[in-house]
Amino acid sequence: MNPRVIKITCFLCLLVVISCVDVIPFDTEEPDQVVVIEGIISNSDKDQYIKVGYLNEFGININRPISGAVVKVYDDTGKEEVCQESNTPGQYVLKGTLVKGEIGKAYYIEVQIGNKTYRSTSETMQPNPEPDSIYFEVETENFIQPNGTVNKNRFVNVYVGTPLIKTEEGLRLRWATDVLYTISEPYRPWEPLFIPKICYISEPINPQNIHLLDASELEATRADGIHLVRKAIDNTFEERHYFNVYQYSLTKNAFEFWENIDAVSNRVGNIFDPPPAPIRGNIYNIDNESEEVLGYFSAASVDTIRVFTVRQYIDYRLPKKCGFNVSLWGDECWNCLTWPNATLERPYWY
Amino acid sequence: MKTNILTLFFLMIAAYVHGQNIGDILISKSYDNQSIVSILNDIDQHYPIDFYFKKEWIKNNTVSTTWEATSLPLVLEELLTPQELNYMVYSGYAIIIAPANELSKAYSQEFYINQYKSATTRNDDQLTRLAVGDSLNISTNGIANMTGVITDASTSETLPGVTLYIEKINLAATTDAFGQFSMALPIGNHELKVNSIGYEETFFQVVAYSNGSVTIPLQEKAVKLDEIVVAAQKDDSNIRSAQMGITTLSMKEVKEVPTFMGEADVIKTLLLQPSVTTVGEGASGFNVRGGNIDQNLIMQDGGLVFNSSHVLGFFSIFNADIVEEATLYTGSIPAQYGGRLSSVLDVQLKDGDFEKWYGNGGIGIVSSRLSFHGPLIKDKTSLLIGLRSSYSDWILREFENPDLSRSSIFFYDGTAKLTHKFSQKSKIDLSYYNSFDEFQYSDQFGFDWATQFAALNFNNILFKKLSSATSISYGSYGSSLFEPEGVASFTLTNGIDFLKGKQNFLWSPSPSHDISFGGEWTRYQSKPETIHPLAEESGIVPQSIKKQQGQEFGVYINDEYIINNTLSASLGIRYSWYQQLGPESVTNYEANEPRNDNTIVDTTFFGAGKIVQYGGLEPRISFKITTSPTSSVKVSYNRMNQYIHLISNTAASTPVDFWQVSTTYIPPQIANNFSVGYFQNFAGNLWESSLQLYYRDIEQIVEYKDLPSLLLNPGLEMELLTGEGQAYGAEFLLKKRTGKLTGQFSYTYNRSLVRVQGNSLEETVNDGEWFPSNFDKPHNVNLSMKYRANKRSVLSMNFVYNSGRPVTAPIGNYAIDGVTVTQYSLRNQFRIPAYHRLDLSYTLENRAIKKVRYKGSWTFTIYNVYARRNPFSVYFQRNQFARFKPSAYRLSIIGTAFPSITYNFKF
Repeated sequence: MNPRVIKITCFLCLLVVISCVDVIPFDTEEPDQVVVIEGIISNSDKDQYIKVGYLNEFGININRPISGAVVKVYDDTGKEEVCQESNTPGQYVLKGTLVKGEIGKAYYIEVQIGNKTYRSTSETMQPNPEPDSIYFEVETENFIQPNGTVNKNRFVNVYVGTPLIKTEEGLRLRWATDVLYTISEPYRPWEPLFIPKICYISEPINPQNIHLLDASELEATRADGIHLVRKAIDNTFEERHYFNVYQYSLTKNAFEFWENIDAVSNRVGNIFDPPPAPIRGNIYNIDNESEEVLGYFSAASVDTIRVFTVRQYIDYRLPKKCGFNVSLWGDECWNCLTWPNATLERPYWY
Repeated sequence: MKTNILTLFFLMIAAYVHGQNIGDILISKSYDNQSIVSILNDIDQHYPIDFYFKKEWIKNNTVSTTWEATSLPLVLEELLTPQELNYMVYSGYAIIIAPANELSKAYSQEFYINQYKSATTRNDDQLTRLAVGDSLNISTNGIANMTGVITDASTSETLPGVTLYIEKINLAATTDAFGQFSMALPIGNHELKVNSIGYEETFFQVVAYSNGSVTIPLQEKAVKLDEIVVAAQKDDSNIRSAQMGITTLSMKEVKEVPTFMGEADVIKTLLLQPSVTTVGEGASGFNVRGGNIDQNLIMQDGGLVFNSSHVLGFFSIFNADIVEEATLYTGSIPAQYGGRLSSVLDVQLKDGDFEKWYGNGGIGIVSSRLSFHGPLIKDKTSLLIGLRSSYSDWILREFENPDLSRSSIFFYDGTAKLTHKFSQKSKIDLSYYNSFDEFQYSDQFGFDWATQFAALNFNNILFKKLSSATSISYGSYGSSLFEPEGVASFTLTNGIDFLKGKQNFLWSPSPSHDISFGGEWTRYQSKPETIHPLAEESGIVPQSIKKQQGQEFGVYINDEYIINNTLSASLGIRYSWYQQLGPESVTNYEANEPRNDNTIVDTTFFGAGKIVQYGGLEPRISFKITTSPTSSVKVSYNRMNQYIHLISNTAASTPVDFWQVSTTYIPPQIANNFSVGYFQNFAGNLWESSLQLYYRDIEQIVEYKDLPSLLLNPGLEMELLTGEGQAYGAEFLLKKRTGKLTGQFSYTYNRSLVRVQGNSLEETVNDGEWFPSNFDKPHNVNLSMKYRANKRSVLSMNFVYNSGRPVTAPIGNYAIDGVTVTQYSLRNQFRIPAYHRLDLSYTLENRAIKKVRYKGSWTFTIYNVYARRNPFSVYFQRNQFARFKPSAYRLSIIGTAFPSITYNFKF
């Protein structure tokens, strides 16, 4: 619905052939100190963490971390495991020594901050049909410059397909995506002993684009052609790009939570928007249920599927990133670790 | 050209209209050193006559005099002759005073007297003869009941408020709202005088044999005074009427208001009235005194209108070319109307002409219209056809953006009205309306919505002083949302049908009582909400959710009662009740728990018949106390029940909103409306002013949980909350009624608040505190002016200022799995910037050519003259210069001056 809302607004603006958006002063208030707890337990090695923090002021995208909290994960057999705070303040990691994520089991967490204790409702991990198809397509879009000339922008679109299965609670899926590519430092003929590094860069792709499918009422046995990624082709595409798709199977409550996030995250504030609201999660203060607590603890099974591109597959036509003209080299050509999110650690599946 | 222009408005209130000779009025008064103006006002107040004059015509002389049973003409002669003033009399009670040289000879006192004398002594051969009844079957009781109808001789339209008078037997009657009358005449010959403002006074020789009916055509008066404007309302009707908060728009007025794209529009004109607002430019519907848009009962010829908008709200469905008048009731709502809390908009279509065929239309930049009307059977049956259509797609095709160039926005509407007069006592009309709107964005999604209804109205005089109006209407409203392509392509449809019957009687037992009574019944049948796959690859499973049905009843009686010279009242009572009808399965929830999936206990199946019933008494009371000849105080109280609700969780209504009848879990909304007003006119009613205060409390208002899921939800009640509302405010109005320059200024302070206190957090909004509704806009200023430079050209302007509407704004951020989530404030705690706008329009009529019926006019309009970027909404986004805090962006729909030109014509 939200993309529609944006387009209606654009349509109405363009209908009267005018430009109609400008910046205005608009002061909002500073937020109260509201606790945010988010975490996930899954059936994979990835995604076993609980983050604890405070709501941050509008415009800052990370929580204000809370260190020193006591975070415990419980399963439905009565086992509990204390999570250890990692090097990242406010992030508590579940090692899985006592409590492991398994499909069909239920979990909840307790977080103690000072003298307050917060607890999540119980979440039962749902079965996940393995996604079995992934492919990409290259799209060319004409883009009209203000001076009237037409440029062509090129994009990679990634699609997945998955079987749909019947589950007791109903199948509800969420997909997250990231991309991993390499930047290779070029050889330097004037430094014969120089050994170029290969950096691996992992980036989420448009994390604000939330991809959900409620298959609980669908009769279909498959969902194909689900469009998850649209990424502009730039000169990093001269090297291989892996597109990773993570398919989460959610409970009904978790799915509704993500639907609400989608509803408030992608709104543009026009009068066809439903009024936004604080999103209620599944965490509460056990002594004071009226205290506003944000976030969600989810038990979600996850399955991963990936596809890669190489330059010949996408008809790569851009100049090399680190070409023969040394004067055009960026910092990453001299040291690829300067590129954001770069690491020398090669993923096992690469 | 005469320099002085006299503009007169007359109130055609039956209670005041009595045939009389002003010579019969005997004045017994004594004045000591009093101004002539105050003497005239005093006589006006104490005797059954009304004076009309401009103060500047009367010199500031003082008079000391005593009259004992002195005839009014003598009194006037004594007062006016030294002032070189003269007078003329309309309808036996309205006396127009003006400088002698301003009144043409045709209307001089001498002419009037001579004319009257000649009329009373004229030879019978000079009079038109009217035979009543059968000369071979003379009434045995000596009385012949003459019934009939008075019509306009040129258009055959019936004329209300016409006085019929037989002087010799002192017998008078007045035509009712349908132009019909009844008189009990002694058998024999009578001289009947018929007069009506704006028409030639006409005398007839009536020969009464037995009961019979007649049709009396009146010729429009060739007015000698330059630009005497004759209107349906007297110029101090705002003071004299017991009711308040009633706005009647003539289409002439509507067509002279500057509007967007030059399309004359009833609802956009109403938005210039105090306390009528909208949430944003181009938004659908209107809000009255802090009420939601579904709290307005909108009717056209008695048929219910569920969506009054075209083009997502830029235009209304009413075609100004075929509308006779539109009346908006906001304060005093008579007991004849019910079913909505805030207001009633009653739009009446014209009847087709019974004598000749006429046509008119207009050509604009995005839409055109054409209407024509005339007789199918002369003097018996007429037909009116009105058509409108848009052609805005040519603008869209100019865009190079392929999405926009493949988009479309389109509407059409058509209206037909067939009117037949069975006799002078009875008339029937059948009107049919059909409209369709479509909005499609490229091949990605779209809306369409359609309205159709038919209304059959039968008006009949049953007995002397008792008339009947019967109305049956049936209609359907439907909307759909569709996505034409992809695995999720679908079409989702919604809608509602209605069937309504109403029987109203009007009984006028005496000049001081007009009693309306009757009943009405409305059946609502919500259409199933259905979803179907559209594209072949769509995985959408067809689904249909049955919607509820219900029926609403109302019986009422209302008396417009003139108690004495200073006190009058409108006293009404309505009893309404409603039943939700089966068959239906009703979900049961745990007691005292919020309604959600986890609290469902079981379901109960109800067969055909009643599932739940609501009802209650609805008093409608208003009083008028005359405090001076130029001022009055009015108070009113209304209680209203509303059994049908628009489910719309957006600030502005969208085409996918749907109507929901009351159910077990959605009780009726109930409002108590209180208002008090002070009305004061100045300068001989040249200026009109009023100050009205109002307060409304609403029980069981429909509210929504946070982020509700409303579409395709069989458990809709789980998303809805029941709250309470209140609206209060003050309206100040200053209006200049006549002259070359006319206009009005209004300021309204208006609050609209909601409170939802549930048993749990889930059922509570904003911690259970009062919060502003989506349409709470406290300060509203409207200034509209019209300057008629000459007979051919009119310059109009509007200025509008509103406070910004409330919004829920972001106050913080947090992250969930890498997704930035915005934390919002409590509901509606901030406001977007204020809205203001200036519009101008200039209408130039072509020169009239004798014996050529075709007339054309050009209307040039500039909407939003100073190109104010009024906020349609405010949203937040990062820009490249603000590293952390996103900027607030104002989105304006019409952010520039927008000129348009329209050519209107009639033939």
